Amino acid sequence: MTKILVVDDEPQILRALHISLRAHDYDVDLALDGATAVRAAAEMPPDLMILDLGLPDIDGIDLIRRLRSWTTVPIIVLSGRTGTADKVAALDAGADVYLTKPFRINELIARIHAASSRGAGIDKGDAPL
Amino acid sequence: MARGQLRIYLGAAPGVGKTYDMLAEAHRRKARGTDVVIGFVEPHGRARTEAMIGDLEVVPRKKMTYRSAQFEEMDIDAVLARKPHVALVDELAHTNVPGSRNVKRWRDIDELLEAGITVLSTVNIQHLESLNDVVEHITGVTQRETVPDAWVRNADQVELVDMTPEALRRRMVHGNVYPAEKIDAALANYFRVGNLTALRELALLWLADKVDEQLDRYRSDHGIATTWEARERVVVALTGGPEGDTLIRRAARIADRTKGAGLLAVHVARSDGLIGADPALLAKQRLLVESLGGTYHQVLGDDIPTALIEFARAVNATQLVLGVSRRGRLARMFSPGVGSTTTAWSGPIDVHLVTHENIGKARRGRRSTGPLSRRRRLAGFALALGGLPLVTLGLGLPHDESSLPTALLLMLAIVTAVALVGGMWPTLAAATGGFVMLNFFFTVPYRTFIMDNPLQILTLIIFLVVAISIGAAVDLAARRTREAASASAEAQVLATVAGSVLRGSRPLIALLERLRETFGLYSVTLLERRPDTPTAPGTERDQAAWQVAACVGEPPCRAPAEGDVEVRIDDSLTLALRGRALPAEDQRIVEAFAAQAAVALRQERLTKEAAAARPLAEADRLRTALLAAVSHDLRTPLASAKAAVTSLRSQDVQFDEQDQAELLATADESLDRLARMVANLLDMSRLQAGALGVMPTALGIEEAIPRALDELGPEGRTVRVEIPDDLPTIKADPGLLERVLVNVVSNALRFSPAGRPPCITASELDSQVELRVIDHGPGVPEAERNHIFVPFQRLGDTDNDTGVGLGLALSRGLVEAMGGALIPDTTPGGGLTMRITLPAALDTEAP
Repeated sequence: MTKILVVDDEPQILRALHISLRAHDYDVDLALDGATAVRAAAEMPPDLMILDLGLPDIDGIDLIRRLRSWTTVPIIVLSGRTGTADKVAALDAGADVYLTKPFRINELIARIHAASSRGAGIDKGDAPL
Repeated sequence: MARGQLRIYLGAAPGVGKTYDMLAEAHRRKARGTDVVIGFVEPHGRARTEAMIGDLEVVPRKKMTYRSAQFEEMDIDAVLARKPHVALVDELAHTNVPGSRNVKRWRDIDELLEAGITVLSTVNIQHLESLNDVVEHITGVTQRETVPDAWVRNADQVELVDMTPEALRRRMVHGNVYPAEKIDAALANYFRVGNLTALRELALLWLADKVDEQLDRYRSDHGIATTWEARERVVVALTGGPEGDTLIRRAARIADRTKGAGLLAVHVARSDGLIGADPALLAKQRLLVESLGGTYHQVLGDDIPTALIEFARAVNATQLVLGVSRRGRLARMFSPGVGSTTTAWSGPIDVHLVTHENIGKARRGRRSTGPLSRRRRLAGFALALGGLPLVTLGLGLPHDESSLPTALLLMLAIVTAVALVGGMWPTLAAATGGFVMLNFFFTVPYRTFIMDNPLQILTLIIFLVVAISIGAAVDLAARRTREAASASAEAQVLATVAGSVLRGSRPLIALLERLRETFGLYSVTLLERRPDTPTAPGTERDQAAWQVAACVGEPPCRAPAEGDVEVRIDDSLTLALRGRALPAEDQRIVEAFAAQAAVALRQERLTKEAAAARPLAEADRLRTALLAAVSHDLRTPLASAKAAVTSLRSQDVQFDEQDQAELLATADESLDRLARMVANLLDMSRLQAGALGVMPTALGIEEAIPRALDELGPEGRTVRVEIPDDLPTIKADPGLLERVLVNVVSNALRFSPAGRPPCITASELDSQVELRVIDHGPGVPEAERNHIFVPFQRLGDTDNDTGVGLGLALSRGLVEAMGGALIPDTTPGGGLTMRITLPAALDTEAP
């Protein structure tokens, strides 16, 4: 079962994603802030991460950079920031997919499918460090 | 027992009326019913003082015999036994007769004070220990009776009994102070006007110090940090030598002694560059001055004492600090030197000549850089006058042919020496003199001006040519040296100019001020042609065509032609100087100043533009961030709701009942939050636009709170409500009050630790009702209290505390719109308490 770590500081969206992803047969792990996310990702490496950029402790972009220094796990950014600059910064830092809030759940599921199959098929040895 | 109070009457000299004043005070106190006795008062046979004792109780003195003479002293035991409330003890510096309990009378006074007796006493300024040597200098009388300053300073009160020297002398003439036979001697010696003035000044200054101490204590007690206006200005003169550091420190110490004294350092650059100041040292000293809170100035002047005094007068200096001359003893014999000249001319300015470790160490190479002064020219003539006959006589008369070569070479040597000492003109004289002497004494026929040997004629002509060439060469070298020195002085001024532009917040003004100061001008004005006027000639007199870009000194020039010197910078800028015409060589420096001024003006304008642009950029950044925050706050609940709803709608998965219920609840709660957010935004914009309809009605708090808590959902139910039953009704808009409570309570909930929910209490406070929303969270530091009321102060999306974003700002606005106040406070034991004060409804309005 694909294991997904969802990081967001908004409990409601975590709840909705938790139920929805579990219904789609994903093993879901939740984190409310950056530090918890890093710890969870290190202890039980997920197969995919869904990340909000506006976290209370670490900026999302920095968090992506930190994760990318040691893991190639596919990262989907789910953010309220709609500016092109934000998207470019997140993708440059190493995110694979950028989705803006609000979003439809089926679009997110489709992105998860795409990212996880690509991540499984391709050895991401050239991921930025 | 509490120590008694000590009040001291301080006088500058005997006879000013200390004892009289003390007795008068004793009478005043006695009249008030205080128990006053005289421990010891010495009227010195002065009738009026004796009369003043009047009916005051006098403790009998103690009679003592020392070396078969009778002495009377205060009977301290008797005074202690009498235990009065106040005791008068005259002349506290008095030395008791050997064999007394205490050596000094002020020790006796100490005992009385210890016994809780208040003491009135007197002392003259010359008895203070620290002033002992100064007084001796002034009066020539050695004072053996001294009292430590600290002891007098510690007195509870020190009152100066002041009298002008003239008045005191008049008093003496009238026989009020000394018996008739002593008057003349006293007036001629101790009581000279000069003495008395100096003593009076000492007393005033000493007391001023004590007053300063009290002022300091007062200022620190009352937390006053602003400085009083400067009354002392200390100017320190820097030569650019290594002793400058010592002088600056000394001057700073002098300045420190007086509250608010100003420190100014000045360097006089000589336009002839005679004194080669070391720019590196000056730069260092400038930093030192500035670090000690002083300012650095540079003036240009040929005569250092004059320039110094002029500068010192211009800045209203009270003290001038100079270094003792570094010249050797010999040089000092020839001219008095800067120090003594300055002292002689200083007038009311005190001059401090400060010794330092570089005394007598003249600057290296100074002699070689000198031009040919008048003195040297005279020395040259003298050498020629003395040397030539000496050689002539030295070779012995009469002469023969063989002595001509020797004489020729010796003459040439003398001419060379004269050239080195005196330059062109003495050399010419020496050469001519030499020629004549050689012709008269050493050529055939001897002792005539006739020469018949052509070879000798040629020799002499060659001598003349060589001698004159040497003189010309030496003179030229001297001239070059002088030019080089002058150039280096200019360069030094220019370096200071450049430095002043780089430093400071208002470089243009600083630069113009430096120009004004350097050349001793009245005013310097930078004029700018008004943009719409043509650059036609003849507009130099037209005031309407120009505007003042910057000006220092008075009076300013309104058009370029008004100044004594006009320096054109470019088509639109002109520098106008008022004060005096400048010699041609100074024009170059002024032109450099002018060019710099133009640069400084441009720089100032650019800085201003940049400063004007900054708030705009700041506002822009703020708006962007605000938008990001609002968009985040709107998107977040929308995203949750949307995620929940789209999940429910998706066809490919089936949710069990519980999941469905949870998703629906998520959507519902998120939409509630969104609705709150939108309502807040709308209220806020109405509030800011002044379009908020406030409909205050009489309202019971107990009704308003439950409605607000209901709106907060399940979390709201945890809040403890402790409202007393007997609260009066308040006057508020129910809808708005509910919005306030929702925001404030939701904020409190967000910061409350698990298990310690917030609490709402209320109480009546003179016709107002105070509602307190108390949480036990982390609290808000005092300094940040106002930030939490700024809408979206967090500026971004890094947390989801929407209340912090808008809620509190809105709440305060709403409460104020209802005539109340919202004030954050600290919860005892940690956390934040929001105090909402609202007016109570008048009884007639009660429902």
